[in-house]
Amino acid sequence: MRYVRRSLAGAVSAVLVAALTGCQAGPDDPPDVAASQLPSSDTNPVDRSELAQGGTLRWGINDFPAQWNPHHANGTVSTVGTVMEALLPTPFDLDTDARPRPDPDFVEDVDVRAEPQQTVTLRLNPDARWSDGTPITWRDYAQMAEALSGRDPEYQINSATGYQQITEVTRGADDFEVVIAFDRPFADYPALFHPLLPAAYTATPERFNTGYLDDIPVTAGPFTLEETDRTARTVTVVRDDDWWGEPALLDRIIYRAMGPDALDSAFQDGGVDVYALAIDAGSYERASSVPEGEVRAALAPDYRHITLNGESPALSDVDVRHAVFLGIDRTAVAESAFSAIGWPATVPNNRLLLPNQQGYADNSGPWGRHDPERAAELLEGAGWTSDGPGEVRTRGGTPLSLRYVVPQGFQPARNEAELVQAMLGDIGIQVEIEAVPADELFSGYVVPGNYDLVSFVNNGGGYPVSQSMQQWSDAVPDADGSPQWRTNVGRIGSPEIDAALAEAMATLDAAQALASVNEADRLLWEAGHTLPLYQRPELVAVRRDVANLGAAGFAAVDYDDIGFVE
Amino acid sequence: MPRFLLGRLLSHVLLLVASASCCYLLAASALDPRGNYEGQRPPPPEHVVDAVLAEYNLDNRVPLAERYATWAGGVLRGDFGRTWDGQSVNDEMARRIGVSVRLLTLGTLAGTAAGVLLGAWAGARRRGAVDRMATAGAVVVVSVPTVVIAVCLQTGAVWLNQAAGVDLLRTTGEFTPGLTSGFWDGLLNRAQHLVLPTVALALPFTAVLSRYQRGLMADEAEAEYVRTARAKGLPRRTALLRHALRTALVPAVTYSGHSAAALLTGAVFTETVFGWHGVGELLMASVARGDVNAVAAVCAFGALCVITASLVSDVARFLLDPRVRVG
Repeated sequence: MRYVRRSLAGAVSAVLVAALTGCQAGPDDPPDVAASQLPSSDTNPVDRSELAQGGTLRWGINDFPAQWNPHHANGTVSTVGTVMEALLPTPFDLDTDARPRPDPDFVEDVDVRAEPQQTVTLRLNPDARWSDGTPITWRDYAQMAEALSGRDPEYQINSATGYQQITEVTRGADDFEVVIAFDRPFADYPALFHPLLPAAYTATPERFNTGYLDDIPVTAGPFTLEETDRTARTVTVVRDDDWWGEPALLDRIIYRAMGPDALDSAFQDGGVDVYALAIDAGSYERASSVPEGEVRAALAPDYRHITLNGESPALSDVDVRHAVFLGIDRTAVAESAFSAIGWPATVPNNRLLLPNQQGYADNSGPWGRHDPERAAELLEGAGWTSDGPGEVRTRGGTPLSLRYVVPQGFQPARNEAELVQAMLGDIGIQVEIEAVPADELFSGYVVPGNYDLVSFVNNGGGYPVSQSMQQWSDAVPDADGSPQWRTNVGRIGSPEIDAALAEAMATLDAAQALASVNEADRLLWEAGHTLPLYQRPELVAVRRDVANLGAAGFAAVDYDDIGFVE
Repeated sequence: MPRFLLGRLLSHVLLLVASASCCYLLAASALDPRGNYEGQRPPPPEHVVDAVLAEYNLDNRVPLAERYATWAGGVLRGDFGRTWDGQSVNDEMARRIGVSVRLLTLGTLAGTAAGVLLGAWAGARRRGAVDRMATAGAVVVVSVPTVVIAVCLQTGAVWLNQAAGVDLLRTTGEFTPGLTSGFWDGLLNRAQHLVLPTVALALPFTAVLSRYQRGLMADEAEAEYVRTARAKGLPRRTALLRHALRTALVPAVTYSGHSAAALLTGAVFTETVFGWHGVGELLMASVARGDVNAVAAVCAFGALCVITASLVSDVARFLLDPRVRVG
């Protein structure tokens, strides 16, 4: 889950920038893309031979994590990924269409067999070495698979997905061949070992939990750690001369952690060369007013949605849920969210695949449209009758009223909820907006099912099923037989949906897997589970002369190719 | 003398213990560190969340009294525990206090000096041109939020740099990271970074203090002892400076001391807008993260600052005011 950070000084600065920059229109104005679609990636791609050798890039980040192990429960802050992907091996990377490919710096060849049980054989790059000199071998994979399997509860892992299915990891022909065997098919195997940790840091729970705490002891990438300064909250990485791949163009990258407002002004005065923008009009204005800078924009690999609580009294009826779907004009909600920055809105009709992703299909059937009349019919059919237009519907004296929980102090969520409130009001559904403390939104309201409607962001990404399966899975009965919904906060599920998701996971045939994914999504539309609202834009403010960096969408950043245009 | 001061000291220590405990109990009961994990999609396994929370005494399923006892035991040994992600709160506080002190010292000193001078001048010549301008200026500065002042200064500095063609002022951070140059260049670089936040801090400080000082000065200027001094032939200027200002200074300096102490944890907006990683920023970030130990440490430090300021003013009063010594 990610919140859009709202810029503290946003409104102020927008006005100021307008006042101080006057009528300097021109290249800084947002491009007129209203008619077109955002691209899947916008990174100013330039061939590395045309770029300058050297240079220092200052990269603005939002947090300064203490736990740098991305597989630790405390290492899930997105900044950890931004920094560690330059420093640790990634056997597979995604391209702009979200298709995984082996990264030849680490994996030279892949062989997958489905029979008798799934095995994946990776031929490792024999030149690959950790910064302490040890070669990267099958042992690193074997040790990490064991640590993340969850079999030893002392390892404080953030997820065992995929590793649970691994029966064993063995040595192949030599140390540089890894054979990974699964007990049941796992199609998203490229998502595993991303990034790989050295065996020494997965060998014991103690090393795993604290080895990368406040430290980045061992690396293996185009860059290596120079220093971290906890007072200035900077991490400096320098070109690793022992790197066996294409040498990094940049001399060093300095990651600088600051709050969103400070990042805005640091970009203005050249204190940072690149940073990810919040979807906020003020930040956008300030960043795009910088003469040497620009905002690169692409479709982000995530989408915002409204989750409906399928166990709340009013919403336990699928017809009422479908009426809510039909009563909301999603295009209007999306347009309102992006009105300030003038980007086009993309409304996805799929929960598992995004529109710019291979295999995307519109599975909404009759439920994706804005059709208040049909919504009213459904409500009438369900026994919720109205005394006239604009009146709240009732059934047996009970009014049809829904609680929409929003995090306090986050104005865009409130605006969105008010828009939905007005739309549902038109079909006779009363919506009460309840602002709750942001840190309790999940633990106090969403997870225990203490809500009717809630909006948040779902991360898409290249591995739609393994990433989000638990969110759509049917309840599991606990010891005394009562259903446990766990991550499926919508509390709606069926054996058919589970079967379709399991099929998608079980086949290594990409086309068949996508067909099963779409079937699962079609069933979710039928079941009235979660209404996707819009795919968000990824906005990255970058100096114009920086190449091969920006809004990368699904794709991985190639850190060795980032450079300055001569 | 020792009796009076010892009494004050004892009561202040008790006050500190009580307020630090209240801070912890409030933070521990109101904040929800578990929510961070449950909000992740998908959340980490439950036993891992329990283990991570228990490790840092953040498990809200443990009774509050037990968590408090663990925390208080650590604090008595001088250990404020760990942040949610495992850093030492002591180390983090030490770094942050350093940053806040470097950020605030110049701003509060400049603000105090400017406020006292402006207020004294305006108070001595009430309804004069300076007084009217100072009043208008103070009203504007006090009524504009700090964030707005800070962002205005930043935008102005960017404009100035562009107009001058060189980077005169820097808008964010304490220094430029990765700068490899000599000591003096490093110092200059720090100064370039310090100007804007200092002005942003000094402006509201000056505004409030000058109003306060103006009132004090106006009262003293019309006091009988000043009239007596003038009747004895002292020029107005000398009478005001030597006698009226000296008397009017004590409460203003006490006030500014208290305000500066409160600023050590309260300069939140200045720190966040200018990207200085001080104590105020830590407070905001840890409240948002439900980071109980860090919040408690910041609040306890805030209490310590205010109590120390008041202790210092007690000592000053003891030394300056004979009535305290006698009474």
